[in-house]
Amino acid sequence: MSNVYNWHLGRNMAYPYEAAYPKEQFAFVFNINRCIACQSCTMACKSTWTFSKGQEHMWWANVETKPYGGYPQSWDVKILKLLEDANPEGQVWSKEGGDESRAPYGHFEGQTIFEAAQRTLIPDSARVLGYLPTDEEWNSPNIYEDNPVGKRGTRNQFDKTGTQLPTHKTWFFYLARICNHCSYPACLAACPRKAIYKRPEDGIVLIDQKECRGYRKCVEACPYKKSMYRGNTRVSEKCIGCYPRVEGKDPESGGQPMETRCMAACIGQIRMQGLVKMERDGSWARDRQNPLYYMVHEAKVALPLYPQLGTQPNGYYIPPRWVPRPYLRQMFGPGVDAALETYANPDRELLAVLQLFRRSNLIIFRYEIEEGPKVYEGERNGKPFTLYNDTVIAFNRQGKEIFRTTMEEPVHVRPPKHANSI
Amino acid sequence: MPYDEPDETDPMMLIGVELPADESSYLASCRVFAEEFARMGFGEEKLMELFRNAFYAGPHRAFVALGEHKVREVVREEVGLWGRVRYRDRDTDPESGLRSLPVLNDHLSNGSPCQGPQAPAAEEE
Repeated sequence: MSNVYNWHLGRNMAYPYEAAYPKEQFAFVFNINRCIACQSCTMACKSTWTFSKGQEHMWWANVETKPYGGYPQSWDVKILKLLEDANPEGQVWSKEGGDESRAPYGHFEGQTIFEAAQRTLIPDSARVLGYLPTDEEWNSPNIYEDNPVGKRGTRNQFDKTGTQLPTHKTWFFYLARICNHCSYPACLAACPRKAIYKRPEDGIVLIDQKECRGYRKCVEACPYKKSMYRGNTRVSEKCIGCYPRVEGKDPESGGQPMETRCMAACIGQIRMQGLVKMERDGSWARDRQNPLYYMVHEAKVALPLYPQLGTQPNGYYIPPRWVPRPYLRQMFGPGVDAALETYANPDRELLAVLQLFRRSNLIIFRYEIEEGPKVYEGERNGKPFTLYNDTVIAFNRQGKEIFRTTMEEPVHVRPPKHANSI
Repeated sequence: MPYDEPDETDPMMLIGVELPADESSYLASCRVFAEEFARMGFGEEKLMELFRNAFYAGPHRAFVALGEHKVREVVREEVGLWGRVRYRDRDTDPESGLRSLPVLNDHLSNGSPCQGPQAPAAEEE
């Protein structure tokens, strides 16, 4: 095992290969406060990339209903349990803060899936702690989603008033997921044929379909279970980060890097994907005006999913603010409280950056804000709050303006004669 | 939509486990509902109507837990902050922008929200 630096954990960790970092890294931010689980992302991915017999079980992108749901079922509970069994009561974070870019969430004192494997797995060739989900667990892409029960014996009809529906003291949220194109991919580490590689130009993790022999070591190792074995082709497959679009080869892109299909299809406007510049040590190069860098490293409202697993995932989430904190701390690490405080009481810049989501399908490399007039001053959440109608401007890789939008952008509606013409 | 009694031998059956949420969760969800609908053009009274309506289980749950006074306070704050929504129909009203959206106006006042909004009548040419 090599010793590599994981900035999510704020420390070095063991990994089967030497560290090798791309020039730029594919990364994304999902604001799951706003996800409505419409599954447009899921179907956009599916209809673009998976085809022919066997595609039925290939859900490279999915949206699951937390806390009960998951695809495969209980994927996160199971890997957390394996780690807890390997290191009882040791999976904790130290409270001390660290260097901003090298340890923004403090230090993780527990064991990653690579470290736990070294201590618990036999034979020595086993490199990653994981498990193979059962067929039943792969059966339902969004099990336990809203599941209303109608009146007994009455089909296809809701209760007229709603008062007859069962009342649940419950909370839930939707967790949209794709491959995290991790900096230290567990799938890549586990593949005995070295059929999985991370592209040096953009960090997208791919399975070479010609090299894969379907051993399913990647399926077992990926803690997020985003590598999927396809029984009829007898090889594994996964999200390809829509790399032709990211390369700017989609005809619609005009040669510019373009966001993935799942991002572009998001009607809830919860998703933003881009490319971040990397330092040679694997941390993100300071790029203050890149919206992803800003949300992850400056405002710190976007957090990695289960950072304690140790793969340094490149998907970041703005946590849902109504969910009990202990659950969120387990899912997104110790940065949750500060992130939610910032998101619930956003400053002028964060409000403007949040306006950038889904105004264009091209990747935003830089933004600028032009200050606008004050439009509201009052109290909110027990604190003074001022809103300015600022204009935020997005630029492409060449520095050319892609679009500009204001805080109080009007809602464009269909004319009355076509209001409902779909 | 399940119509039968739960089959306890079904390995995929959801086993209820309580993950408790405190009042701060209700307050946060109340604020989220108020903000989202205020940004879509709901006014104070229309939003209060939504919270009171048991059909909208999430907001109504927050309404029951927090009480009308607290919910109205949150709604008033969010409508004050986000309530200046302008709808622009580029075909007929390219610049001035201000017009009402029939779908939103009709939504809660038609008395049966579960049936969904009515399609607006076509405008005379």
